[in-house]
Amino acid sequence: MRFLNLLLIVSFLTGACSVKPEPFKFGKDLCHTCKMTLMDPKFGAEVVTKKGRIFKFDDLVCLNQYLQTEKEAEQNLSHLLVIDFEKGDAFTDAREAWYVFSTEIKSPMAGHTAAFSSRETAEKFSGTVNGTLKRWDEVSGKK
Amino acid sequence: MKLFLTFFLCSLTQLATARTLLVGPAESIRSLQKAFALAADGDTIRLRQGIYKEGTLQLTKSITLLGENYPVLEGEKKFEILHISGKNITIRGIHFRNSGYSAMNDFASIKLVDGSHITLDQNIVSNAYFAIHVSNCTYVHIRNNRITGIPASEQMTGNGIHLWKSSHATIENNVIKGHRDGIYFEFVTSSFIRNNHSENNIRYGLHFMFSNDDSYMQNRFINNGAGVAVMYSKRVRMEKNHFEENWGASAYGILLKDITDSHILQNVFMKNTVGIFMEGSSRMEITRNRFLNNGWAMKIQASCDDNLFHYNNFTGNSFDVGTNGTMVLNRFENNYWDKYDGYDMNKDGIGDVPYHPVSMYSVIVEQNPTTLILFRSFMVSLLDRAEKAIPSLTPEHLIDNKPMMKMLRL
Repeated sequence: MRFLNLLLIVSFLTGACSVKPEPFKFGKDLCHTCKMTLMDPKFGAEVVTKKGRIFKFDDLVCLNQYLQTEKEAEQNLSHLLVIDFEKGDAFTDAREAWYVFSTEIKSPMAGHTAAFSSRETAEKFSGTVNGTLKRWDEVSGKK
Repeated sequence: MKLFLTFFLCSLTQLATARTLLVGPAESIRSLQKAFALAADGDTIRLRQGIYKEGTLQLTKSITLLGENYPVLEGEKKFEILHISGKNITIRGIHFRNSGYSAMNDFASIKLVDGSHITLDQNIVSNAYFAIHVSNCTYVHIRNNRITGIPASEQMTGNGIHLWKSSHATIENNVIKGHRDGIYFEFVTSSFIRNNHSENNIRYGLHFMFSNDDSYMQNRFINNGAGVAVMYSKRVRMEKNHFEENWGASAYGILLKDITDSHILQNVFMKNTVGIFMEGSSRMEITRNRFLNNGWAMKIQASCDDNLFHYNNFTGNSFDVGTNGTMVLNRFENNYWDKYDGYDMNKDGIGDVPYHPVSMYSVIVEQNPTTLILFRSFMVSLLDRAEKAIPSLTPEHLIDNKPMMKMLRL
């Protein structure tokens, strides 16, 4: 019985510390960088640090600003996610995603960039807005 | 003389050709679409009372469209109702109802694209996604409109009056309720927002982004989700506005983010969680405002510098000023603080010892928000007293050197 209790406590503790992304609460959560209320389910990004801290962003611009000011941050992240423009309110890995840049895309902070999990959809969408296809290295300002 | 006469007669014929077309269920022209096709520049169309279901109407001619007793243009929850591009167009007295929703495009009841000198006056817009959407226009006048959205869900609601990449716009005497942002400006310059009433919008009553050289005056922003946000802009004048009842963990009277060289004059901040929240802002003048009954009158982040706060009244606020740092690069002068309890021995109307607007407890709360539960407890008042006598934790240079003894008449 004592063992069971211990197990319960241990599982509870590890459970509390699990490092998991958290869905956006639109209309409630704030962007970490610009302090705007998150509203547009087509855009956004989230990082989860290895310690389990969660930062939410409304636009790729704000994510980049965070990554650039917190220099060591990227190594300490367990998740680096962006919202899939097509699905809306669903995350996909930022480093694997396909990005479409076009001034016709109006995101909350004028980043003009939409993220997609599938290359095919990204290309199709790019055609409709006269955009250019990009990868993470290009949109994160490393180049 | 002959030449003059010819000119005169020519201009007369010009006048004579400007016709008035009547459109209505009992008229010879029954649809607005047909009227738009028949009309020439300079014509007036009078729309009789009735309900018109015409999908999306395109208007590119310089005409005046007048509604009689608010005829209804019905969008059937599928269409954008009126699409305008061109110049010298007036739309007055029409009820736009139930326009469509699109996740990808910003569907709007009235959409203005690439236009100039367009007036939207005394219209009613109800149940819209975006109500009025303006892009790439100059000299647009939007006045006396009543805009009411139904905030079904947060993501399904667009902005009331949305301007993008425009200049010289005037937004006057409108009432906007139940949208995402009441009035939204992005890349809009040299424009006025005056005497509007923006209430119960889901996010901001007014939202400014990258918009320089604008001013907004005499507006009332009441009970919006997060108040008003003015961001990434220069040379903005905010005058005589009312910011009221913006309550919530992330709600502010005004959220100022990266604003420079701007003025905040004669506004009233009443019953907000935070009256002014300021981050990354510099060279601002904040004067002759009234801060009444707010949680925090102002929260000034350490990233702000060179701002001047003078001749303001602070009354009935739980905290006067909150800050997250110890560096103080802003000036406070000649404000009235109701919590000031110094004397005025030389009777010049100015307190003899400086006032510290940041209380000990507000520093503690800033670092550890849950301690708010101890608010107004005996321990906290004791701490605040002790801190007043021997300052240790509060920023020692954040002081008003000339606190006023009497409330300023504003």
